[in-house]
Amino acid sequence: MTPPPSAATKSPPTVSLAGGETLAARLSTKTHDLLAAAGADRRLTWTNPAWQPLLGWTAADLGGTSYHQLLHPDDLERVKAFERDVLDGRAGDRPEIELRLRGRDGAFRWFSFGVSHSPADGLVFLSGKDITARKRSEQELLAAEERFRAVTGSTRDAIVSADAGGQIIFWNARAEEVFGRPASEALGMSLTDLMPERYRDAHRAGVARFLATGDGRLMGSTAELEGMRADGSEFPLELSLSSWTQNGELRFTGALRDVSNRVSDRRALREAEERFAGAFEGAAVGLMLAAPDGTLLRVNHALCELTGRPGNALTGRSLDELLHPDERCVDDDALRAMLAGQTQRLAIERRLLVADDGVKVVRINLSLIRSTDGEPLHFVGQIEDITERRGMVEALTLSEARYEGLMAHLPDSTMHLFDDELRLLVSVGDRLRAHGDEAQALEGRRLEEVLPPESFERMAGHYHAALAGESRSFDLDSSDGTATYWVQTAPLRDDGGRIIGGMALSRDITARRDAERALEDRARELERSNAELEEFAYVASHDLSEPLRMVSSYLQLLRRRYHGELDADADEFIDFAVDGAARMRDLIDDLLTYSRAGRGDDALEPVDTRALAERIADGVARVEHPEARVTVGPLPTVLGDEQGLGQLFQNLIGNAVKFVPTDRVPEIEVSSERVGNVWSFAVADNGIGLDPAYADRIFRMFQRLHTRDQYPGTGIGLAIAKKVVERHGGTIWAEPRPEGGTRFHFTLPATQVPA
Amino acid sequence: MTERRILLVEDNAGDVRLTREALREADLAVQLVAVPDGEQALAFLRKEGAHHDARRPDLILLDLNLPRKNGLEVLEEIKGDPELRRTPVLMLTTSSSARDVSACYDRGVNCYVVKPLDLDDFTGLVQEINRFWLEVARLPPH
Repeated sequence: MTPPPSAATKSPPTVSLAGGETLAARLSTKTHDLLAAAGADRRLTWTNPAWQPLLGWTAADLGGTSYHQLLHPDDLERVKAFERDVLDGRAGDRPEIELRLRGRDGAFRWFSFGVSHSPADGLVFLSGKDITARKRSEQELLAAEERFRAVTGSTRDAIVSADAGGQIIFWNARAEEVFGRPASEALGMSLTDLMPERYRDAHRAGVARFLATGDGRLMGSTAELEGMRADGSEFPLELSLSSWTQNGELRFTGALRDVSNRVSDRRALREAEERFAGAFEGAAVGLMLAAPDGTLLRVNHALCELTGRPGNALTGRSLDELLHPDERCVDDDALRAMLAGQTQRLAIERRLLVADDGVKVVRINLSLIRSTDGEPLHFVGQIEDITERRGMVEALTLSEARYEGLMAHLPDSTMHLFDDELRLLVSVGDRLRAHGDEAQALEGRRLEEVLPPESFERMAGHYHAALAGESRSFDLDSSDGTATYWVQTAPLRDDGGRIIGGMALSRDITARRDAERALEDRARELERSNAELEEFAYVASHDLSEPLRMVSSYLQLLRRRYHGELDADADEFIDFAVDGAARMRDLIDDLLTYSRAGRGDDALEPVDTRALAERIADGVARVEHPEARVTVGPLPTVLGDEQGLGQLFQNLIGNAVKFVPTDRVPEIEVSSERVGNVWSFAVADNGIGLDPAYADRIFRMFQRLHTRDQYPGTGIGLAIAKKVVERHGGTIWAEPRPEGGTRFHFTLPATQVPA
Repeated sequence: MTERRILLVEDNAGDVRLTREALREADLAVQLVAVPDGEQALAFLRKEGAHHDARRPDLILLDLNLPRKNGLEVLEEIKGDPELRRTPVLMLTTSSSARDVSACYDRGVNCYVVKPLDLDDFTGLVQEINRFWLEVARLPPH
């Protein structure tokens, strides 16, 4: 959380005061953090408006409530222990605690609370940051991590990850078997320790080239290499390599498979041509025999099954014709090299067109068979369906780094990765699970089957746009209108920039949308009822004054003409009646002033608040207390309604002079400081002070804390002040000064004032 | 000096009496004629009906809220009538609304005064009006 501004920017003797001002300053910038003050009895004496949007509590709900009552039951003991630590000074300079608070709707949210304790008066200041989202993403992260472990633990492939320096940072159970090394030994070793000596220089050069230029020849493809076991023996392996970035650092992940058996199969084929046919037909993997020009001569049963086509639909056609149009060419150079005897084998991954317009990702291992005199006879191709495995490798690559990065920052979100056939490759987040299936079970299926039909219909155009290379982001209401999502779609590209699929990220922003709408509704409703109230107050007070004038005028006339001529009782009765009528007149006058203060008839104009405050201070002092000392510091020029602001200063300075014990000379200081995009004004006095319990109440109409005999007045001055400030878009509040007296604060927007 | 005449257009008998009392306390030689609504005020000024022998007043005190024809309408008719428009008209009303004040001056009122709530203030005001409008100010000849 943000540390509070240093108290050193204030004068040293008022450190706790500076704390109070920080509270005020933060509130005035409309912080989203919860701010509160509580007494030694844990009862909340002041809360800022942020409690309402976050938890639904208004200041009125919370005032006088012990914050213990808002805690999650599981947190109570921990909080009590923390409080003891804070009181004993054992909690450090800046004590913080994470806890849950109950909202008005009964739901709990997580907060990180910073606490400062003022030993002098037992006050506790609380500042809470909403960390609900962070808590949730921490849990999601744990789940993602667990899933990653589960997948890597069960795969048939050895999974090895290394950092940019080649040091091994992940080693799954299968890797332990394949290389004969336990994870405890392998972690921290170099990748080069896994390969025979003769490959190491080429490996280092390749890594250096990739780091320098991003040219990763092996990235995203499959290669056959030799690996070295712990005992130094070598074995053929097949490697799928990918790179990813975690916290800005490059990582490599390889999926490796021991292919010793496959290699020896192939050797057997080459060695025993006459036994070829039997082995060919019976092989469990798809096999094909092709002429040196690529025409298919023969296919085996497994390949027919793989493609879903009968043998006679395949033979006679070129291998290229069976491949996806985007990648037909089997790499002529590599074929020529093989024909020229430079290479023995070619392993490529391609998309294979299968029956019913389907596509499968296959690995094709091509070998060239030569006659005994060395002439090329034909190619033997081994075709293996790796659609599933390919998806898994991609998912793995993602799950470790990218999920973390993405999902940790995006709670309430779902992410789909899909291929160019709109098949779901990966999905993360809550939404699919809500649909009824485990997300993993859905991977590999078409989005059309996975998503509710109306969702798919509305999204299909965006999916296709992503596949066409277009990134979009937009708000989408659910078809029944109950939810709103923020959706982003974008193409996914391979290392070569080719679009291989798309991504759709949707974030549930229903709560935010609802909150915004509710807020708008409430603001409108409030505005309307305020306007009505003002109209009512204006009309009522206006119409009341007419009969009141009669009552009061004739009472006065009665007293003037007949005082002393009736008996003593009658004189006293008339005096009470005259006094009551006079008081009612004052109330109606104030009510009129109050209702006018909110009418907003006057246009805003630049107001030099310093000149205004000085003028008013002079007037107030002259009338109320000629000895009063009013110091007006530098104050800004703001956009406002001069009459209203005059009333504001009049009431604040007037109160400051008025509420001072008779044996004391009033000393008032008016000051201001810039806090963010508002001006924060303060009017401080050396008066009778203020019980924090009433700090809110004093701003209500006709609320008085003292009898009229002690301090005269109708109790409307601060209500008018509040109205003026709020009409200018500011807030007003009061607090006792630790050294005695009261300090009133109010804010006004620091709008650019036209010169 | 001849006795001055004031026409008070005021529907509230309490206010009429109060004005009379204020004049009495000030011991002023003024004749106060009161009519309770706008139509009667105009009838009086134009010497119509029962008012055929009415004499033109030196000053008109006009309330805003009147039954039938309200103060603004009466003001408009007076100031739109070449026979009547020279007579000074003072609005004497409880309304302190800026809108009312502007509307009256727009229609050519000579002065706009808000009735004070306090009796002493009211008495003072009545005396002030008399002093200024009937003694200081030069009025048009009858």
